[in-house]
Amino acid sequence: MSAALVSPSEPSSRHRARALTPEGATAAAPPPGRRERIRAELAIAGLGVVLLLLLLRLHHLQVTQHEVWLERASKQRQRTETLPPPRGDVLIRDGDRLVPLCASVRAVSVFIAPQLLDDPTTAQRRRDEIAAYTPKTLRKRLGKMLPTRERALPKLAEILAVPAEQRDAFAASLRDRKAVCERIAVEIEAGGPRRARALAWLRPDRMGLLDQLAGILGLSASQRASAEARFRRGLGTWLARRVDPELGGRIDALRIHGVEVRDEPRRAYPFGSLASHVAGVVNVDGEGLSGLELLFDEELRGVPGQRHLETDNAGRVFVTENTHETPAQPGLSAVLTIDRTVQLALEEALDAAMEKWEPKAAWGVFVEVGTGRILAIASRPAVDQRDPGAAAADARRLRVLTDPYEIGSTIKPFVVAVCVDRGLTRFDEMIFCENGRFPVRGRRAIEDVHAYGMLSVAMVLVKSSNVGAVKLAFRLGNVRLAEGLRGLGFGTRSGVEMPGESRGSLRGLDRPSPVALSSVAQGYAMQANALQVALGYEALANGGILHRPQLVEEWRNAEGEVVRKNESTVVGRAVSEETALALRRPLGEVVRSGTARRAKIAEYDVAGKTGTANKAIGGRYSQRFSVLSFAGWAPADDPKVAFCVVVDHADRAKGARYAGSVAAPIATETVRRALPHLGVPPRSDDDD
Amino acid sequence: MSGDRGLLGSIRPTLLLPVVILVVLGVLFISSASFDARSGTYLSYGKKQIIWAAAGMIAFLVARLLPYEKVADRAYLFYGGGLILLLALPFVGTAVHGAKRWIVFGPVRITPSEFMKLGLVFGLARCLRFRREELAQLQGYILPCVITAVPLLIVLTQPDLGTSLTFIPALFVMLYVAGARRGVLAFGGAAMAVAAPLAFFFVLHKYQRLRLLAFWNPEKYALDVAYQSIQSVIAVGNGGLDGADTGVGAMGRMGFVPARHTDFIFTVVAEEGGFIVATAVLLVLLWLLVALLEVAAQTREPFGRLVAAGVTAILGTQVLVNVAMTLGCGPVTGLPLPFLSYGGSSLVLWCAATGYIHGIATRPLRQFGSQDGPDARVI
Repeated sequence: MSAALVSPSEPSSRHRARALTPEGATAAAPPPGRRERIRAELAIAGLGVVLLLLLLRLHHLQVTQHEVWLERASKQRQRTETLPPPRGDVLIRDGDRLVPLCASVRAVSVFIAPQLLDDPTTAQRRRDEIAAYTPKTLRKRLGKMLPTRERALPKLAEILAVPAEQRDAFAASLRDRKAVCERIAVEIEAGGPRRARALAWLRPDRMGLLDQLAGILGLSASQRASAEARFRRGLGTWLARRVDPELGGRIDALRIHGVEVRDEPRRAYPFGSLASHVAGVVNVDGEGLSGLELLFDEELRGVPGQRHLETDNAGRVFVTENTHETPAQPGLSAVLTIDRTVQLALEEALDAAMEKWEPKAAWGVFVEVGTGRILAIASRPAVDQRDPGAAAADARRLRVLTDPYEIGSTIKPFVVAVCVDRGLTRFDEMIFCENGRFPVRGRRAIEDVHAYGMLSVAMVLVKSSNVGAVKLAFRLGNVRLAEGLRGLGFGTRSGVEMPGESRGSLRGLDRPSPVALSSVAQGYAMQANALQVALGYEALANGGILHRPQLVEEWRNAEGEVVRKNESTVVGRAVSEETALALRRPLGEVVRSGTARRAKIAEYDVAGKTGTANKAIGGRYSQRFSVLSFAGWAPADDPKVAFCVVVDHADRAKGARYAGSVAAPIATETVRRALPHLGVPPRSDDDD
Repeated sequence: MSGDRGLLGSIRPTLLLPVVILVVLGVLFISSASFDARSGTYLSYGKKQIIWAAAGMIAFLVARLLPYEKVADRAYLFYGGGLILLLALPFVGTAVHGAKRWIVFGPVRITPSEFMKLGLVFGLARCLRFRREELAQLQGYILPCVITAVPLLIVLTQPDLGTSLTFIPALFVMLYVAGARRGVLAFGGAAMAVAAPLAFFFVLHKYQRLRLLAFWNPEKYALDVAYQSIQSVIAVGNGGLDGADTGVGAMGRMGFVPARHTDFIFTVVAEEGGFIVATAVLLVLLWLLVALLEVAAQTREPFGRLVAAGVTAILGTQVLVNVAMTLGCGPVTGLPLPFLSYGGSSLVLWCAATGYIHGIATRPLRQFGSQDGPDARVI
């Protein structure tokens, strides 16, 4: 190799000639060499080949694969935003008006996407640069940095703290972009805090920005800290969810890229915690968690809309002809059968009882006689709608539906009605009540509170004789009694439009056992929920027809048009009309002079039956704690409402001993306030 | 022929026309690329480039009148000047994106490495013009290699991998034109092949290594180092046969393509012009390179021939590497596309270089004492 290099293989005369005559091309200069030509052509060919390869690649990308890249390009550019639909309202009746129990109100959420914010180091450098500009350069550079006059003006007004009413005049004073630039330049040159504010606006620094937003939104120190933690890790974070739109407007006015204010309607409860169990709650994303919000989530929710946007590489949105949106369809609004006055009366009566007797819980339900529409339904303890998360788990149950209980003596009218209906007795038949003690083989003797000898069937109800009721039940036997009770709605779910309803049970009637039968006749060894009891009484009150309960009367769309109307539904005839009507007198007597006489009210005659059942605690019936209940209707002889009220875990040690003095007043107090409102005038004194 | 020797006399359209076409297209596409999606307005690159284009045309016309033997005698001055600028860079330069590559003189921002490209060509041409004899000996290669190595190392430490890569083809091509032995060139090529991987691991910065790696596996680095490359490919593919809608349809205008008015201007050409226009632009570039090569082939005077060959080598390398980069089949090295990319000083420089080569092509040989007479232009 080196030998070849040392002795050139081709020492042409041309080389020599040139080397010897350094003046350049001389007489010895050869004609344009073929060698050069070939070399040049080779080079051109080589270039051409590489260029051809590049052309092939270009063709491959632009023609063969065009569709692939086109799609990828649009995917990168396009963004789809979901537009949350306003959730439907839940309305209740207030006289002739409909008022919202819960409603969607406009609210905004503030989201911050740190990756879209300006990079802080760039920002700092930019500020330093700006600080070093001469006045002339400053104006020139500002002209380039500024967006349009229209976009710059609101910010400038903000910096200068121009009062809202002077903003128009301010805008008019800065006629064009140049004037805006000049104004900002003046601000920067002013130095001190004015300069800092102007520069901070041009390039917001991130933590300062966070402080500013936290200040506007009134975030607590811990909220601010957790936002900052996410922020520092470069994660997007919600600064506030569903807050006042006015705050959102103020943040929007800052026009900070990377801070997004989204419409997210919020649930509002104009009546606070009224009927809170019925309404239920929604989670932070507006999905129903309980109550009607859960059961009818789909109807209430509506259909989200979509907005297709074009964005640039930093995710900034462009308004272009490609931006199109499908508007969100608002959810339907439910109109409930609940009446605000009745509901309020019942809730206040329950609250009073809770305070007075300190039971574990109390609940009640009022239904309209003749339709089965639920006028009021409430349970204590309850959920505070302002802070539903704080409620204890057992406060979230609408116990009227969820908690079956042994209904005690409130079963007796049903036993009597079934017995009369089957022709096994008449209301005026005299029954020997064994002087208060009736031995039944296999169990403790049946005892009455007071010893009775002969009682008419009607008086068995008025006096609530256990012995009499048991004797009637024995005549029926377990099969016929079970049949009769099922006909009155026991042992099956009523079908109310609420989640979590219990079925109750008629377990004691499964077998022909005198022991069990005698228990059922006194309202033990069987369970029902308060709504089932109220509906049973509603059937007795209306002349024997069992209704399906109704909570949602109709559905309306956002324009207020009724799109679906629910009619009252008859389940079937429970007892004959004659039997049902005949019960009005004895049950009216219960309140007038019987076990519920302490709950008597002057304004209305109320018919009903008290029930006192010892609580089964740990497999034994407690002598101290009981379930006190009162079910019935009002007015006694022309019923408008039927009800059932339950006080659970009433403590005898606290004086809560008799249903007549604990549960019945809740019902009668509600009746007293509700009936005038339902169009039943109270009895005037001269009627008496 | 001396009657033709005005500023506009004896213009060779084969050389001037492609330059004019490229410069005009450059202005158009730079204007389009300077759309600022954020404010919805156009930045001033387009307008500035018009001024630079005018300056470039004047430079072209003036440079072809330069008395080129004097230029040849002072060639080392160009080389030395380039070196001084390069060496001054760390002290007076302005860093952008982590590399100090610019010296700012008032409104003019010059890139010393661009000047060095031309300086190197002149330096090598001066060194090699009467060196055919010496090139028969191995020692004869020392000086040209040193002349190349000094600026190459400086540029490499800037760090500017792209520019340093153009020096090597210039050296090889000019040695070849100067009559170097094929064996030596082949050996040199082999040495480069061996040195490349070593340089990859020991000389290059980490980001440069990553860029090269990203070229082999772009999707893996899609969000960081290969981002530019992938965005460019998407934009090119988006262009299709007849170009993307210049409204929001163009990724370049929406800001997805980085450095779109400078290094990635060809992406904008391909996206907004489509396959047809992009092909046309490539053909015009080829036309220019062929015209320059023609001059090299036809010029018997060694200095002119070497300069023409060297300039062609550097421009050709830049075109191929840059276009390959925008099409995602070459690494992102930061080489602009000559005449099309935004950048005033470099546009004026290359216009002047082509003008000077034009001058070589049209110069009567009598200045060199040729007995062929004043019209002894080659072919």
